[in-house]
Amino acid sequence: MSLDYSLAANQVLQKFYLADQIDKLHLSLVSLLETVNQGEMELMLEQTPKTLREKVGYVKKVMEQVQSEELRMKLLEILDSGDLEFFDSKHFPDFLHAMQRRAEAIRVIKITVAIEFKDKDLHQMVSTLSTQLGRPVALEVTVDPTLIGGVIVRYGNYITDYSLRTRFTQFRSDWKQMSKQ
Amino acid sequence: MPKTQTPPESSTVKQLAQQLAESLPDTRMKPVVTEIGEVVYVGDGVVKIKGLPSARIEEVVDIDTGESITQALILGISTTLIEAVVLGEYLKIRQGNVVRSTGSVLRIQSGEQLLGRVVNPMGIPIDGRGAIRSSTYQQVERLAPGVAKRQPVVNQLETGILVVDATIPIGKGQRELIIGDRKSGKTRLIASLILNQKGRGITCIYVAVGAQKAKVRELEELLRAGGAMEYTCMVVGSSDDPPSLNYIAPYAGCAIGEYFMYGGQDALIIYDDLSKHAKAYRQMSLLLKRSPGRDAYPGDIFYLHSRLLERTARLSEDLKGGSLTGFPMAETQNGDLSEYIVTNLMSITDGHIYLDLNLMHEGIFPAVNSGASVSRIGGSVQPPCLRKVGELASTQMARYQEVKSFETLNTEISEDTEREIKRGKRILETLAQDYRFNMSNDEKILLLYIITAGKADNIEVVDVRKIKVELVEFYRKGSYPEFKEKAPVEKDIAVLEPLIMKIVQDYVAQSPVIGAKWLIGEKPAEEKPMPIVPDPSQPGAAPAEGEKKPAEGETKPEDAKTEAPKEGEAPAEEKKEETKPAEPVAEAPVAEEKKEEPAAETKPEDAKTEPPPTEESKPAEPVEEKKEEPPAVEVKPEPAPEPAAEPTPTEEAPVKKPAEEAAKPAEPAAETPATEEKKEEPKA
Repeated sequence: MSLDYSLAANQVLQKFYLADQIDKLHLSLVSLLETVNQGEMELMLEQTPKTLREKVGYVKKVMEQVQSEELRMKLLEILDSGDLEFFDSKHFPDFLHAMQRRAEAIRVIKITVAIEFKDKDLHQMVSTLSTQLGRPVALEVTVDPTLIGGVIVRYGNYITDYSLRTRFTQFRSDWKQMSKQ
Repeated sequence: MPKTQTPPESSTVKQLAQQLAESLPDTRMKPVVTEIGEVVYVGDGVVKIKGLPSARIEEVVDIDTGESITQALILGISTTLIEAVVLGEYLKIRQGNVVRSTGSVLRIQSGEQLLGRVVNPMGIPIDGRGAIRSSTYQQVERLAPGVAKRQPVVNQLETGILVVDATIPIGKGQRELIIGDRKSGKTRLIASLILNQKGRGITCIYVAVGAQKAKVRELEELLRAGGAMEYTCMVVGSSDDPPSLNYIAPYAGCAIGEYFMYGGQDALIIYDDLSKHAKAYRQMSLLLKRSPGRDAYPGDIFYLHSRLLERTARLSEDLKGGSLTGFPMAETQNGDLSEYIVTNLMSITDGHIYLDLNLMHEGIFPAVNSGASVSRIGGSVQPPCLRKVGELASTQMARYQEVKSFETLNTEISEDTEREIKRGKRILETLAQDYRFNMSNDEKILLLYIITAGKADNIEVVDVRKIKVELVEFYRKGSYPEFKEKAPVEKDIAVLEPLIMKIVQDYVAQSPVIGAKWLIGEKPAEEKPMPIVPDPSQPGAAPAEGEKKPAEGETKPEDAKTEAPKEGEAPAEEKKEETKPAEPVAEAPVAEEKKEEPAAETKPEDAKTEPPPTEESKPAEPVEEKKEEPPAVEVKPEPAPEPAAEPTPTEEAPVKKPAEEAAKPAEPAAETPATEEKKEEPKA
């Protein structure tokens, strides 16, 4: 095997930062594993006397059905590098299982923001959160202009509110209380 | 005077801003961290939640349904799930809804702003009178004050209800259970209780649990009309509210009451009723799949009520000495006092007032069965004299309960027993009270003294009913400051006796009730029986001939008997005299109408044949009548001539008995001559 599947899995997962992507990745992995388990791929790549071109064509056809764009691109990249061995029955299922394990480890963090964030900012955010939490994270972003500014982060059993709306509300109640005093 | 210099406006603003900046808490951006969970099960008003790692019992959580926020109260925490009851609309809650922890226990707004208002158990007004803007909040669930924070119950809570204040005294800070069957007048009693607190500085909280809205409205109108809503707050958990709201209703009401108690005021709270509260809790527990116990109630049903009722207390002076008096109510089934919840409540409370359906059917309101009721606080809270007369009344009533059945037996009763029955009846009548009629302690002493001393024994029950109201009103109008001052503090009733008699004499002098004279030991003038117009169609009315002559003397057969020897006396005096022997017979028809029918048989029948008398005291006429009478008696043998005209000695006793009730102590022997005379008359 020319490519370490574990490394490949990490490389693929670095591109994921949104919860939608993770959902699609899960579906894709399940779909691919089903295909592998059916034995069709093994038959095509190992048992049937096919030309290399035919084999590559078959793998490309399978990869085109993968829903997750990031995964598809990576797999096609590997295929284009001529590493057909990666897709055989010895390595490809291991790669898929490794991907699945890593995908399951990703924690989805729901954030609510006042304005739509750019990809670059979201990447930055994911990177920061991953470092802080010590585990890969993905974001589920909701836009709510009533927040005015800041962000509300929902992670696990907690919601942390950094929004301006809440801040102003706090300030209003503090102001009222102090005025009474 | 030196002029004070006002600082320039800008500097004032700056100062204010600076002060505000200093006084405001840390202005740096701090995140608000909230715990969340997820709804995994929704039942009838109950939810199960996953998450909320730091949740605790009695904490309020917010369920975000997407459309609105619904509150829920945590009641149980298991290893995996949290059990909570929804405090409001639960139909919109779906599986997966986010549940937020509020970190606080349930609170309800309290304070004077709630007086005159009707709120639901969450403190939201439901009387359509606008929002309540109260700045104070009380915890719905709160620990009862400890031993050190209390002081003994020594002050009387005047209910204004004679039977309660006299025989079942209640102290401020006490818990007195009110029990009775449905429709036995429980709500009426408490309406009276609340109405009577007017001007006594006591705040009232009425808590309805599972009540019908129409009845609550009715009560509210009643209290509002009586001016009682000014110091009353109603907390209503209606029958269509989810069980969770009915469950918290008593606690919410108690929290409102505690505001006044901890503020150094006196308050009373009525829980109407805790049987329904127990049922609401049972419903919740069963939905939460908790193990059912006796009658399917959960195991903590006792604690449910004990922790509620322990919150009523009289606080120590260090805590301003306020009090909260509790009146829990419970409904019995067919007078069964051994019901589970009732016995629980009886053991928790300091006594109970039992409302007897039978008494209510007899027309006694409030239908308090003083024999079956008890107050464990005892007479220590009562004025000494009220305690004495109250105890006497209780004893006499107890004796009456024992012997009253003799009355219905066709046997001869001893004079003592007869007197006890008479006394009991009059006490019972005195204790009956209109729910709008409020009495103070001195008035109660006045009335009860008169009755228990036997001064009203000869007065007919119907007259007692009039006299008790008239006497109190007369006393209120009159000026008797000495009695008013002494009555609540005097220990010796003998000191009050002359004062009471003075009031009574003054009252009797102006009373239109003839029988009132018995109060001062005088025998009243005879009342003329109402003439009965003869019915010509009846065969008994045949002796038309007799109409002419016996007409004048119709009322005077008795007169004649006594007047004959006193012919020379003035008519007015004659009248007085003549009543003495005639009284037992004359009073009988009015006093005990039902039972005296047989005794009065001869007279009304005579009356049938005779037009109303025109002259009352003619000494000569009765003599003629004696001659005239026999034909009248002879003419009517058809209906029942024998027993009426010639009562045998054996028949005489039952016939005499009711009649004697009214007049026996005066002249029991007078009756025999009268009947003997009657017997002799035909012979003559």
